[in-house]
Amino acid sequence: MPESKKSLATWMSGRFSKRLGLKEPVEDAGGGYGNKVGAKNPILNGALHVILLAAGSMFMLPLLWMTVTSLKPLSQTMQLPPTWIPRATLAVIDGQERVVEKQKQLEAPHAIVVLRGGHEVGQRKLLDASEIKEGKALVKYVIAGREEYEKEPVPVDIIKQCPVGFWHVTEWVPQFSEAREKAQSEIRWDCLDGKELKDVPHAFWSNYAGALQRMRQTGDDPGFFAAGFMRYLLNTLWICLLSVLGVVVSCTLVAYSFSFLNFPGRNILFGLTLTVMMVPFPATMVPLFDVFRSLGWVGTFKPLWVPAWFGGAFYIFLLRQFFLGLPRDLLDAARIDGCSELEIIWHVIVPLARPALAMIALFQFLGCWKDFMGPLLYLADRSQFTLSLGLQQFQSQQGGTPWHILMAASMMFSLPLIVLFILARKTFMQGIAMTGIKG
Amino acid sequence: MAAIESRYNGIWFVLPWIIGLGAFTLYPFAASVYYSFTDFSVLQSPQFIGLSNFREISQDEVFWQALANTFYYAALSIPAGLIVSLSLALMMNAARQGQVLYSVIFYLPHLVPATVTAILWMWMYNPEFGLLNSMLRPFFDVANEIRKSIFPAVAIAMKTDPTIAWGPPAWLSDTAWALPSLVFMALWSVGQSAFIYLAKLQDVPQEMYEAADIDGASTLQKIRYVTLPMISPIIFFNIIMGIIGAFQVFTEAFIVTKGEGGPARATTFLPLYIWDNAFRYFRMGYASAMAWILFVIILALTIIAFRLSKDRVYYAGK
Repeated sequence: MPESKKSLATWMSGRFSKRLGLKEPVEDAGGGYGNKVGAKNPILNGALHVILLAAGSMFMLPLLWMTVTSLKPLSQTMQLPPTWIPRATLAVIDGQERVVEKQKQLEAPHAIVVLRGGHEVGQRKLLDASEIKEGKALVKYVIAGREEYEKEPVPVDIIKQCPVGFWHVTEWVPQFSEAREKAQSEIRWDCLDGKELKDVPHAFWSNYAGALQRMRQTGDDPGFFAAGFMRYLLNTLWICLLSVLGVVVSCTLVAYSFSFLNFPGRNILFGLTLTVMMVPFPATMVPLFDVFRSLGWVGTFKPLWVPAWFGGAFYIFLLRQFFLGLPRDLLDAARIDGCSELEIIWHVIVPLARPALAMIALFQFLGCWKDFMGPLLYLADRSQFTLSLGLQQFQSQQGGTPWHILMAASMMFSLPLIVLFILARKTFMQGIAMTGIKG
Repeated sequence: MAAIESRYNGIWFVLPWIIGLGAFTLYPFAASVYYSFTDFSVLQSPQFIGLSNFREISQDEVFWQALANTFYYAALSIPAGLIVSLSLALMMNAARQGQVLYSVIFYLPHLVPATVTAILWMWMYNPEFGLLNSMLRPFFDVANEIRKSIFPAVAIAMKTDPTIAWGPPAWLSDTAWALPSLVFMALWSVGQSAFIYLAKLQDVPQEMYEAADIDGASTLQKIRYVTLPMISPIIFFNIIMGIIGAFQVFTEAFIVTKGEGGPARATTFLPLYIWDNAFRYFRMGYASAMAWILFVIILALTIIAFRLSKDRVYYAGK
């Protein structure tokens, strides 16, 4: 205990945060920084940085790969060897520069023609030049999803010659978008010289829109917040909001009581609180499910947030540690002034303990956002899924292929946490250091 | 001022926790003892059947396989996690600049939700197009070339067919590699413990190193005789947490194998099998019995760790 109190005191005095989160070390900062174990030797120091940078790049590699994949078109996710920069072919079709897909390079002279007869009169087609005889050609047309030949050659007008080596290119349409299914026949195309095609780095942001769209299923309500990514996001935010509020409110009350108030059996109860942290979840999983089932809560959000309003062992422990370091005189002064216990909590404890409360709120939010097992256990209907369950279901239904979409969805699921971390790095780092303090 | 406090006023504030502890931990914990002696499905209430569940477990091949997998996973992941996080922390502590940057870099993967970690690593491990095999393949190509052109005789002597090319493993779809792949994946999220170690390392008093310097200790000796003893409580704490965590591994294995624990049950861990029995086959009594075995194992290992640590962990102020 003395050890932990010492660390807490240092933390509160702000030294800890200065050392851990916020400032780069100054070379002779009175030995406060880590140049203790022999990095005084510049060669050793350099070697350490080389190793750390190598390890750091290995840790960053998967995240980088996730980002890169999320910006590639499907075809480039299956390219060997893999490329690190997503690229696109640009070309002018119909008077505007667009991202295009190369269909094939022509091995025989072709021509773009406009049909002057037959079922598809007025349409443009790309025909092999040898098929066109005396201004007529035998062409196929689509009927009931199948292709049939016209009975007789139809007259055609040649509007563009495409020599050998030209490319048949089509306008690029995002994979898996409704647009693609709807407008197969309306996709723009042309045949162009290779010189007219530009190969440039290009980020396919449409994958993100694709992820939003694809995580819906046919038959879902078409509204923006209907089952799908946005719905999962709302569900996750709602559950996490309730559970964070619950944890902060209940643990403050309970930890306050453990720290400053008396009741019979207080020490036994606190000992029990520490002990139950060791109970593995599988040991209570089945009866807990049974409890929620008999309450009629399975298939609702309640099992995911209601328990938070009844405290959490770890948070109670952390808050109690923090509260015990607060000056007791303030509490007594407030009591003399006639404050009730609730008023003391609100006017004295909460303002002083703000960093600790922010920390448990952050941890609870993190745990809730990431939770997979809870939603898997208690949520049945797709409209209730959280992001982590929704993403897993989407992945297991899709099998392996649409990695670009999966990675885009994964990015959108992880980024909020990374942004939160960057914004609240101080609280994070203090909190993590705190969690280790009880050792 | 203690006189102002009444003897019972605290009970109201602690009441939510008494209810929560009872309803969401203690009752389920006690109930699972009872359930483990019953035949219990969602459709019917528990029927007491004595030790039948445990007898059946002792003959359940999948259970033994799951238990072996779980031990194998723990035996790989706990030491590996300890070594990686501790060495990262030691290096960060010794490096003169950039500690903040490094700790952020190593911490970021820990922020990624397990669902994403699992899906991302399925993509990394993809045998055909995954980044890992794309990076490994050139090495295998070189090895194959050497084997084919320079040492055909060796290949024949080793009774391997040199025309069958060596290649990188199929990771998650290879029975031998699937479990180590999961361990490697877990190592990616090791940044949190590295950071805790770093925080503790910076609490080691500078005077101790100075004293060691005066005694002429080398860097390695300082690590061995000053640093490690000083941070031994947190190492021990992390080992205990590692044991508890490793025996509960669920989410990643569930997602990567779509809940099957494949290939060929190579990644069926005990929690996964408990889950299957409870919520797929609705054998909740049987699942509770296995959960209890899991709990007793974790408890036993924790006690053993405490015993072993007695003379090896240094607590300041005791």
